[in-house]
Amino acid sequence: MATTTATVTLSSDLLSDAMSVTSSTTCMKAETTSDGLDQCKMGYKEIPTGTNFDLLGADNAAAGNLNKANKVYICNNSTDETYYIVITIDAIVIGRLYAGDWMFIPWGAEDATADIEIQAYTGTNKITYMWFHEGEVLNTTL
Amino acid sequence: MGTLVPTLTLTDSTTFSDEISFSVTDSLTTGTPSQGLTKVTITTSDNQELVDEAVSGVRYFFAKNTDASNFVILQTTASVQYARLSPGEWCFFPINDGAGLEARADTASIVLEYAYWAKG
Repeated sequence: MATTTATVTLSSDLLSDAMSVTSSTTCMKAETTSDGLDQCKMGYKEIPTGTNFDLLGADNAAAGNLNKANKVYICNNSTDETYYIVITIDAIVIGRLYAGDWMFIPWGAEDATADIEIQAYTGTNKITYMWFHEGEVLNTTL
Repeated sequence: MGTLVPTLTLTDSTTFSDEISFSVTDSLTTGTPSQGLTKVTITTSDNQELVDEAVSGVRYFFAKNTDASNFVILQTTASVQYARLSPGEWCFFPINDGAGLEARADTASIVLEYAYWAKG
């Protein structure tokens, strides 16, 4: 079985009781706990300012990601702390990733408009991303 | 002010020809308002708000679905769905003011662990 394991460790000294959390999960296909995701795409992109760019599209039926399991990692590899990117899903701004920040989200490609889009601010940002998914079959009409 | 150190490790030695094994970490300055690790039951009803859309600033949000068999949907306070947490799965991502965050169980109630920190 395909076994992609994602583990997070969070430590925080903000509260009176210091927190340390570790959680691990195996990335599974939709509606199963026994069959792991077996497809992956990864990349390194430069995002210039001024435009909201599509990173991952939910409208590609051949990609098979609609209503399937999609685990997405995005990291802003910019080094200038004033640089950031804005993450949008389905035309709704989700949040900002500043230089060095990362996110891991089980993207819910709920409908054909639920694309993940990125807009860069302050300067050209550099990002890495990984998309673990299922069901993609290439065809000639993409 | 405090410091939040999130570390992600991704590994896979069975699926692809090139083994995946990497780790990324960050150091985030955090302040108020923040929410410590909390357990809450999420039902299938709509509008179970975890983060209000009117609170300004950037939040770093963590959640884990502790249920063994049912998934939970994460959505904006306007009910725009954008993430599904499968059984046992976790997520960590930033959220902005204006959208807020709600959870809604899909099939049956689940217990969700979550926490968030405001960017300092």
